Amino acid sequence: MKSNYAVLLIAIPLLVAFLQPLFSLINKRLTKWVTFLTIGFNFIYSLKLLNYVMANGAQIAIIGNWKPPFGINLYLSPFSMLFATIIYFVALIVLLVYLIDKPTEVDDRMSIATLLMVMASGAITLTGDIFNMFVFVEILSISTVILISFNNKGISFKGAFRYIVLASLGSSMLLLAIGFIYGSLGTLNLASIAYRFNLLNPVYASVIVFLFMAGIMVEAELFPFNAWVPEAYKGSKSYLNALLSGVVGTTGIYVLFRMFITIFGSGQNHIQVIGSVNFNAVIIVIGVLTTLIGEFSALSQKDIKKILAFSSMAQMGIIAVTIGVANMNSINAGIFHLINHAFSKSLLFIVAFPIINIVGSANIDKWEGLGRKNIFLAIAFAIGSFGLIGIPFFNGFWSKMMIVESVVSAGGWMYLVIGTILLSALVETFYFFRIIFKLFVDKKIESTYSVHIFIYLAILILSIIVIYIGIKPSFLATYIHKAAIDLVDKSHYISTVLGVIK
Amino acid sequence: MISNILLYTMIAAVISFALGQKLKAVRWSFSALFLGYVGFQLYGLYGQWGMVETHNIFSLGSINFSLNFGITKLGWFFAFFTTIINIMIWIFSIVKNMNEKEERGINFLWILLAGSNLAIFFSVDWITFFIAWEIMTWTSFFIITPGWKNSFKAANWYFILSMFGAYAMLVGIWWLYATPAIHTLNIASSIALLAKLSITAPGTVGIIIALFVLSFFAKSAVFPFHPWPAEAHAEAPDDFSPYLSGIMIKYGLYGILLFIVPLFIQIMKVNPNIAMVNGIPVYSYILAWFGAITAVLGTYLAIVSNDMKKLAAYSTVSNIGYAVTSMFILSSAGVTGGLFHVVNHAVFKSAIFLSLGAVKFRTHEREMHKLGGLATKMPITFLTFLLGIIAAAGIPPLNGYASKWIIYQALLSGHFPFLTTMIFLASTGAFLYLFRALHSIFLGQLPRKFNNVKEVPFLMQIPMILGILSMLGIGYAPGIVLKPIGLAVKAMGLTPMTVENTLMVGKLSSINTAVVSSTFIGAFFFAFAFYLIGKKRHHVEPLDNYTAGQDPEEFGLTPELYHFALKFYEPVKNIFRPIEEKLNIKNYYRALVRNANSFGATLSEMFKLSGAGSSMIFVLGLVVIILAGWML
Repeated sequence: MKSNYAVLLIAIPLLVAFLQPLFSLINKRLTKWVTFLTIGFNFIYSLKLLNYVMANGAQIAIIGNWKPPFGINLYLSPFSMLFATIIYFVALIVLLVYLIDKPTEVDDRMSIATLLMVMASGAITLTGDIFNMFVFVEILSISTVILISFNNKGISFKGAFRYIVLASLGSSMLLLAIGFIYGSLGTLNLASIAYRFNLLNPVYASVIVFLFMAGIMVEAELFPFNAWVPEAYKGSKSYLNALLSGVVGTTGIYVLFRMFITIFGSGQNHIQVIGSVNFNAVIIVIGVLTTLIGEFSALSQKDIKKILAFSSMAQMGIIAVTIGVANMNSINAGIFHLINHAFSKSLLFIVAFPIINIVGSANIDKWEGLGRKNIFLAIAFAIGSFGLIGIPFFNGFWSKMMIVESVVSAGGWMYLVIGTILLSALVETFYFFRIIFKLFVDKKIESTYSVHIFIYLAILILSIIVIYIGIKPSFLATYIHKAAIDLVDKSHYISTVLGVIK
Repeated sequence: MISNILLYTMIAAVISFALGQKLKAVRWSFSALFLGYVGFQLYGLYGQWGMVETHNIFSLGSINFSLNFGITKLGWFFAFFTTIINIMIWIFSIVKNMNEKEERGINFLWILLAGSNLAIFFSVDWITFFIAWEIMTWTSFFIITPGWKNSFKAANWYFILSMFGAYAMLVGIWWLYATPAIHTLNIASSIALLAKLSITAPGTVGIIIALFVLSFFAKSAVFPFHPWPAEAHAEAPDDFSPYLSGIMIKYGLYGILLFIVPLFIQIMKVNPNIAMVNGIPVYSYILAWFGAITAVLGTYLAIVSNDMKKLAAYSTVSNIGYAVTSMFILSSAGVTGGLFHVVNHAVFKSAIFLSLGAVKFRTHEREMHKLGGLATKMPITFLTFLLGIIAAAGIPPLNGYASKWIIYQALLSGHFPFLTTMIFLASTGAFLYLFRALHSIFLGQLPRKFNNVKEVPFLMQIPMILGILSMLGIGYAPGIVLKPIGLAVKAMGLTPMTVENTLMVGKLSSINTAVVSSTFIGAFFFAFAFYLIGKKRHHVEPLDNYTAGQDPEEFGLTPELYHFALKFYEPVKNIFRPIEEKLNIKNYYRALVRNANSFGATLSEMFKLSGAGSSMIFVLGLVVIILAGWML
């Protein structure tokens, strides 16, 4: 297999996105199907590539025959391919809901934006060039803001506006950081930045890391850069919520992992003290604050979309803590939890969509008695929440166990960290159990809404995954193990991309 | 073998779920039969000590997750007795749920709960233990509150405190694992290593013990976690209350017997410089005091409650207090007494709750002043309740007497005068509430509306009769339970008490229960003969008695207002009111919840700012992060 073909993962969606207006001439609904099929292609192809790199080790795709560090390259490794695959997979499942969404005037344009968004997310995980990454982050945020505002409600515009403000602030930070890097190191290639990053003046380096952090944490939904989260989720359509959490959030955390551990970090021992700044501590504090704020805010909400939005913010915080703890177990745990979160949270958002339509409200107080009307949806919601809060034999249990293990084993002030996280987890458990309880209250709901088979299909697939990972996590463990090794092995990353500089 | 049983339990749960609501009689009968099969299998497992079954789940990084099941003497003992009691309860449930309008599909959750119950007792490593513990917590949450709004509030008390405890245990488990000198997840070896570690690092060991103790105390409702049983036991489905009170609340005590007590015993053996009080480690002494406080507090709260299920729940709390105090004496008699009291309490408290369930099944009332005079209408229920409270009060010849006797032996022979006083106080207080419950529900005047009340169906009587027989049986021959207890106590490194079937030998005195029982039964029949030859009683309406012939309706009086159970212990309550107002733990918990809510609401306001506001947070946040990062 020629690894260069991996460019197709970016090129084909891009091409199709530009051809969408032509398809829309035939039928606007057709554009939805075209988007779906394109993502489907991406998923299948990336799965193939994932198995290839799992067997043969990391590969690079060289674009235009310009060898790195001069040209743009894609870096295909167990870690990046794993996340690209998961992003495409989640997007594919979520698009099942998009397919049967009510037809609107703007379907063609929404299809374009959706396609660009998923493409950009996948591309961010794959790219080996920091400016390229910046461009994709820009594409991602612009297509996201378009999608949020398409819902045509007051709150959508509010959410979209807040998102665009914060995202553009973030990307200017990102651009500044990249400018500093280019000005000082003279390169934009990630491997070569990684190779030479410790040559930088420590103060200068720490400024770069701060700016980069601020830029990417907007996408990763981490406090204090996440003010857009609740309103944007509330304002957008349900399938987009699932994408925001399962795709955009995952991508943001992916970049944090890659940059902080492989590129800026110092390889094997993962200590990231740059200048006099202990970045591990900074990220841990940010993560803990995000978790605390997210869970407690979710506790006070009644709107399911906001609850889930705050909850995904909080989960991102927990994963950020594992990046900061940065021992091998915590990295394994973080990757595992990121995957679990993508599945469970998308499941919850997808389940929420038909429930909102049946009940006629996103207010959880109105959800009472849904289990009597449609037991399948109620059970699926329970499965998703169980996966998220980590009930034994659901996927989140294992990753949360590993997170607690890794944080506790770090010792010292980490006991305070784990205390705060578990307190937040207690709050989370409570509000999810409250919703599940409400679903089974005895009350009659009058509704004529019939749930489309595609929604059932999406729910079924994700539920099976959530349970399957919970019962048999070993199949995912091999992938995660290789991904984590790939992530921490800095010299391998450099030598794979740049050849033999040792 | 064990994993097969657990697997069958899961399959049984799926079958029960599939049977659906229409076939509820079938599924409850099926589950009772299934549990009978499980009990039979467990009986066969007796004697296979040390057998371990391992199932690897996955390993990632440096951790290997596996499920390990093994049979320990203590575990087998608990598993077997809880299963037997569970079967009794499920026989009761068959009819109870058949007549229920909606039975809410709690059956399959309960089967899962029964499975996790076994898994807790058979797990030999902490991960397995924790998994079983978590499954137990969430299944029981949904059984307590199967879609009822009142019970949801009650279940929250239980659930939040339990989850808090579970997370404390989780940190404790991984702390054990992260400590280089221990680095094991096996329960038995962690005890030995912790004991050794207590010589060099007493602080670490103390914190780890504290984390586990928090978890076990929260589960067993030891002070300061005592409020939850009254809420959860009272609001749970009537057939689940016996399970909650008889079985589930014992898990914490099981944890203490599994981990904390052997650990203290080990520490006493290997660590010469541990601080001691009265020959036991000072930590153990403090924990014993927690038990004593629980006993007194539970008794007081039971005295002042008017709801019969709440009364029984607080009585459970106080009984847990006796057991905890006794266990932390760490002497052979103390541990034996605690363990024995756990069993006895499980028997008599499930009998009491079953009879209360039977009363509620027929009358649909829970408040005692609305009941009365049911003794003649429901004789078997009355007899169950009567013997249950006699056992609970510790009067011979019933089983509660035997275990309380050992507990007093342990306390007195260990020279703990203050603890003994506390336990005596609680035990005497028990008379106050128990006999009040008896005469309010079963004696006195029968309200008119209950004239047509009948005894419960025969199938529901069976478990009550079984309860009566086992209370009498254990009281007559405590040796049948004390012998297996002796094995478990021996496994902890103590010399078991000398017992024969009907003889208990204590340090201070010995007692032949057969003689005691015969004497009391003889005395009972003697008194009963007097009752029979005595004069016939006249029936006087309660209102005629009190209103001197006036028409009570003019005053708006009802028989309920003249029921003597109403505000029966108001004077006692008045005495303690000043303390209760200041020191009501429930208020602290409520305040905590309120503040958590408003804290969340305040935080979420931050996300409602305008675009300018949010970019302000962005910039300010970044500046703070940079400054803090640089400074610290």
